[in-house]
Amino acid sequence: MQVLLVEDDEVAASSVLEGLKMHGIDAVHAANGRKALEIIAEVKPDVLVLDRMMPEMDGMEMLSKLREQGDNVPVLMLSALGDVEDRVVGLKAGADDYLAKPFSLDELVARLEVLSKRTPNTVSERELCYADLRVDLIDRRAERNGQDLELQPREFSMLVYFLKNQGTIVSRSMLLENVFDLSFDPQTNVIDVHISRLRQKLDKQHASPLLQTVRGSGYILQEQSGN
Amino acid sequence: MWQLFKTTGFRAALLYLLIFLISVAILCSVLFIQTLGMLEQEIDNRTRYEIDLTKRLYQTMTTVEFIKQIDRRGRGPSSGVFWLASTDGVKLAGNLDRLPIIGATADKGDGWIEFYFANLAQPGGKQIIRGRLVELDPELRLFIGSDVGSRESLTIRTVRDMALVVFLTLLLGLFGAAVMGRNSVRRVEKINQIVHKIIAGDLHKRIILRGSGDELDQLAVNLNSMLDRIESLMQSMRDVSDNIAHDLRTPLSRLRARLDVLAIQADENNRVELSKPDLDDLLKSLDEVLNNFNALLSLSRLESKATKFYRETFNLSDLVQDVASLYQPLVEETGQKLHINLGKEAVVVDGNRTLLSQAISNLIENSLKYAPASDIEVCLHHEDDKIELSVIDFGDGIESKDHARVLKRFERLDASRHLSGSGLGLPLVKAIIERHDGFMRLRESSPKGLTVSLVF
Repeated sequence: MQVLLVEDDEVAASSVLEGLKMHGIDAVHAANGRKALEIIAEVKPDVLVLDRMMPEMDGMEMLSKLREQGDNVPVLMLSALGDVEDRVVGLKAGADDYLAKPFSLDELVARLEVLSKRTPNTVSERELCYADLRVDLIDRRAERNGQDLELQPREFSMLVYFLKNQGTIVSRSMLLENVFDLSFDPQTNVIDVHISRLRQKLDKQHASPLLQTVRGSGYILQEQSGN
Repeated sequence: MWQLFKTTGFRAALLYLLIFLISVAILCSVLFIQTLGMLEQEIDNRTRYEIDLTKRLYQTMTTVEFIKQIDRRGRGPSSGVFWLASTDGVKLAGNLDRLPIIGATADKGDGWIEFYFANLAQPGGKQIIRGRLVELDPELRLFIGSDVGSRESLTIRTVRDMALVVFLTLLLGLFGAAVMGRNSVRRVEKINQIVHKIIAGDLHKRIILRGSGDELDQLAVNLNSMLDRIESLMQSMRDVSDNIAHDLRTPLSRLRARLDVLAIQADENNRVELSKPDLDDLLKSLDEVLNNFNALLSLSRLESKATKFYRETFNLSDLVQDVASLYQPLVEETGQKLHINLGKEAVVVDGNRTLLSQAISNLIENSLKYAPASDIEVCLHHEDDKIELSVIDFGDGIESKDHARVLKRFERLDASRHLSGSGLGLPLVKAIIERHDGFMRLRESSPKGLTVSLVF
């Protein structure tokens, strides 16, 4: 995955770059919008990380210029500290995801992984599956190893989201945004409770758990390694 | 003096004085002209009377008798002026020695003659004579007139008196203007002195009122209330910065202490050994600081009406359902229940979905934290264009005297000090609902507990 980070703060940019490299993500940096457009024309990055607040050309302006040119590279917009303007504005402007500063590196990596795998409008299949897990999107039914899972609507949506991003780490705020359609930062472990309920129904009676916790980052739908 | 001239009081008084002076001058002039005219008329009437009398006497007397009569009357105390002469100019009788050559005298064209000569009795004095030539007989020439010196002296005296009056008026007016100007200067000066003290930092000073209720008093009242407001704002600013300092000091000190230890280790080994839990702990401290900052900044942006925020039309009932159902499993974990009461019809609002969801979530999390063993109710009520969104718990509640306090930043009641929290939750909810032109209401639940309602 090739990432272009557009950020005017050199120090912040260099540590993000280093962090991404440690996760095996190849990233380049542009200090302003003008330079970023030059790099995009040259290297065609897979994902763009765009700071909203920049001198000269700000993130919003650069994004709309990019979209005008017909470039639909996935864009993750970074908001400034204490910005009340929510992600709706960023998403309306053509961003694919939105992350508020300060963010953890794990959160950024998880979102970049999902964004780079995004293949728009091709998920129209009726069925999603992973290992012995099967989900029917039309009948809204889920089964594991031939056994029906009795899922609440929210639990079903969560499972579908995990299946669509199987093998990728999904953070708590990603679940909140994509499953519950909410984008604030809860001070409680509210998502964990939902996960533990889903896990009860999904993994309890099976030898190999599918839903794994990734410490500090979130969750991943993956067969336990070594099994 | 220049200072005085610059005052509005003095300038207004000067303007009034000028207008007053002009009207006094006009009044005096009118009086003067009228009086003078009347006096002239009076003198001329007397002369005419003398002429009539003389004409009648002449008809009843012989020439010799008449000459004697004129002589006698010329000597009388009535001080008419008589001159009787033969046609060749030889004086026959009268108290005038000679008549100036006619033509050189000022003939007014109406038969009146005016002339003057030096008054011998008064050195430098002037005697002015005004009269007429009387036709009696071809053999005789007669002039009858009056001394109009009194008229002249009256004119001079009147002009002098009027000048005095105008001068006195001017003097008095200037004095009054100065007093008025001084007065306002002195009061403004007092206000200025107090303002200077306030600028120098003494915010407790207030302007003393005279109690007259005039415009300067009203200005003072307004200045005083402005100062009250500024003082209270500054006080709350100070409180806020104290609170920030206090709230950030703890995690920052912890962070510093940890890093200090690491620095010492690095001094010894030139490298740092750090376990993952330790590192997570450091990150947690830092996140605490950052979250506090973030919340504070959001709150400031929300409270400053200048920043615009995104609005859209959306279904509030769905949002309440979404947020409440997010928390439902968490509430049920400990055996309590979360009831959601949305009413029959869907409520659609124009607002910021993210901010409102944040507000609902804050309220539910508050109830979870402060009323841990209580059921929670989330109610949405819509009536006559008024929307009321309530989160109700049945815990220990908050005493009504503390209701206003918990809405202030960083304000945390003693009862909850042991619980973690930034003290920004409720102020943030309040700021959000106020940005939606609504208000927040705290009440006691029945039988006990806290009900927080957002009305908009």
